Amino acid sequence: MVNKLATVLLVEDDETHAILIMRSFEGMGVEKIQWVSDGEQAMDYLQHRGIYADKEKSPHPDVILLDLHLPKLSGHEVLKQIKSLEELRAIPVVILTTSKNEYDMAKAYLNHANSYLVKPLGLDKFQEMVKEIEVYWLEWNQTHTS
Amino acid sequence: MAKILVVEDESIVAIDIKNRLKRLGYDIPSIAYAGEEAVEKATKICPDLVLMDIMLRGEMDGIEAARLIHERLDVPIVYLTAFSDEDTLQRAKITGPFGYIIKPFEDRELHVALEIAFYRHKMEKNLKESEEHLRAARDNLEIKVLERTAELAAANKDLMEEIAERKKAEEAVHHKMEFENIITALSTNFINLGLEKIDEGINDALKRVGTFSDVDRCYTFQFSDDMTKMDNTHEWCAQGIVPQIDNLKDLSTGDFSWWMDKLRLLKNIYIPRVVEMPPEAEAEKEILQSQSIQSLVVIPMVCEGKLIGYVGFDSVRSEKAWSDEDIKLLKIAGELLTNALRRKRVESEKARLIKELGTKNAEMERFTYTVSHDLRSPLITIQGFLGFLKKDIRKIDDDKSDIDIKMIENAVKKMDALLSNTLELSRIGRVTNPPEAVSYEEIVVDSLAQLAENIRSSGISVLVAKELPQVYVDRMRITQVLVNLIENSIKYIGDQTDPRIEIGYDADKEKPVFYISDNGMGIDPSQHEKVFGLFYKLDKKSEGSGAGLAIVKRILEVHGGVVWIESEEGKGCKICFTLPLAGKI
Repeated sequence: MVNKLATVLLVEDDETHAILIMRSFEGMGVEKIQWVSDGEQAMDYLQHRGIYADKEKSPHPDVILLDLHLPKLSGHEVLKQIKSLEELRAIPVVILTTSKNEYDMAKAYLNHANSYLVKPLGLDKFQEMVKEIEVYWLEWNQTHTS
Repeated sequence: MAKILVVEDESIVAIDIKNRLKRLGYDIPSIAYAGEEAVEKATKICPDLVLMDIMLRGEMDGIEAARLIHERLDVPIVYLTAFSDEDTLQRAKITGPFGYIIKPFEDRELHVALEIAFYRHKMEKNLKESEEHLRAARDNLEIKVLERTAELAAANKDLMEEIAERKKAEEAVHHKMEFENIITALSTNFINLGLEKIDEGINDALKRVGTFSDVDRCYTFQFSDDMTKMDNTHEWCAQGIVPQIDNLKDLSTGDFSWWMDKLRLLKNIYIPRVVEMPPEAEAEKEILQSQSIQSLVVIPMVCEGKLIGYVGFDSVRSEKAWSDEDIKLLKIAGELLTNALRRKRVESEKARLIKELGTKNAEMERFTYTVSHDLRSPLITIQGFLGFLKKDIRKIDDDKSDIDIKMIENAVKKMDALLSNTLELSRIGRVTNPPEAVSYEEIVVDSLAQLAENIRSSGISVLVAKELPQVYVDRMRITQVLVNLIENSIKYIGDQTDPRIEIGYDADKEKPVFYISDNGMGIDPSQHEKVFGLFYKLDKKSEGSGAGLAIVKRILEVHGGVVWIESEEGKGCKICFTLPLAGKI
């Protein structure tokens, strides 16, 4: 069942959070975690621009983990762009943020986020959550790709 | 006994007559023998009758003597004559004789003639008396009638006056009632008016009061809170009268001390003739005449004991006089307008407070949101790496443990910075130093001194404009603003061959603008608003918590100023802001 060639795009401006997430993915069947630290880089990656022009080296991810508070282009804007682009909108976008704000949640779902997760306190819970993401979105979930 | 003066030049005849008369029972006190003597004696003895012989010796005959006596005395004259020719009779007739006795005569004839004369004289006298009586009565009556007529005329006049007075009083009452009706209608109307309609309501009230009191212009002036300025805020003009409202803005009250002295004592100003204003009111006279005002009444507007402005009523086309009663009515109108203006002030203050509360609330919400989000972030890091640390210690992996500890340390530092910035930000509004008038240049110099080392090592040249104004600010806070802004410019100056920062001031704008510009990296317009958000960072790797511009914005807001960015990515950055000035330079 495990997709051994799975790719995750992690959009996270806080370096320590990125390390936390990436370390939590260690030992799971994920081939590549691509980390970018702002919204513009995320769109560059997804649209194969600049240093991400090589489609082989920068494949479309199987899931996008998206923080909301990002410099340059906010998570909400990135989400909106992804869901408005024909070739990207099928990719599951999981919002992974510290914000429990109602407004953020409503706006994310309005822009067709596939899931909304709040970063938990404590490594155990954090790792549990990452495991669940891996299991659900990379093993159980079936994505229709065009 | 009747006295008879006998006039007879023949002495024998005279004695004979005297004797005969005595016999007949008359008193003969004297006999005159000539005309002149007759007149003299008659005047002296005042006889009841003169028996006059016509033919007398001497110059004066009996007729002439009789005429003279007749002139002097009311005495009957009976002529004695021997002949009765026509001429003599004609002459004698003129003297109004009472009888003729023709010589020679019998005693009986004499007696009858005398008695007739007496009787006739008595009758004539009676007649004359009753005639006089009658005339007096008639004259009296006429006077009485005249008097009565005059009395009636006077009474009539009084009555007319009374009627006119009553009519006038009735009219005054009617006038007053009509005015009160207008005022009542207007005040009812005001109660129902929303804030945005109050100005319209005041203009309408001026129109109705102005029309009713038959003036050419009627208006309100309001003073600034410190009473140094006044503005014509509302106006109504009769048809054909030139509006003045746009000419009468921002006037200095100091220029009109005569006027202001009266108003400060809360007195009405009533000027029936502008041309006769006293010399000490020269400034006032000039401004009134420039508006062609001939007469006016001004009523002070007093709100909770404080003079807030006044209502004026001008007469332009002619001079006009107002009675005390008229002015009382205008005062009522003044009170109505005062209430309306007070209501407007209260309502707009309320609206402003509600708006401010909304802004504060939104700010608070944003703040809470940011704080809860940003403070959670390092906590997640700390908790996460604590977990890793436990595992790495168990595995005795010192290298990894060191990294974990470093991560935790950084997160704790970040958290500390966030907390102190948050605290600082929250204190900006609460803890303030009293504002002072200070030269902006001094603030610039202070800020540059604080950053001297930083500027020197970055190799940036700083240009400071020459003519900088005095500002009225919390000096320490504004220094902090400049430090933060200059620091940002240094941080984002990029790889410039000739890095420059310019600190300047633009007085030409509608509101004077201060700015700090650089030729650094610039900021994309999409980021212009966001950079002022709390803990927002353009570049996560840069130093600082991202609170710098949030603090700048907050300090400027507390000063009643605004801040904005004029910049494009790669084309340098210009941060602009406004500050309260201490006065004109």
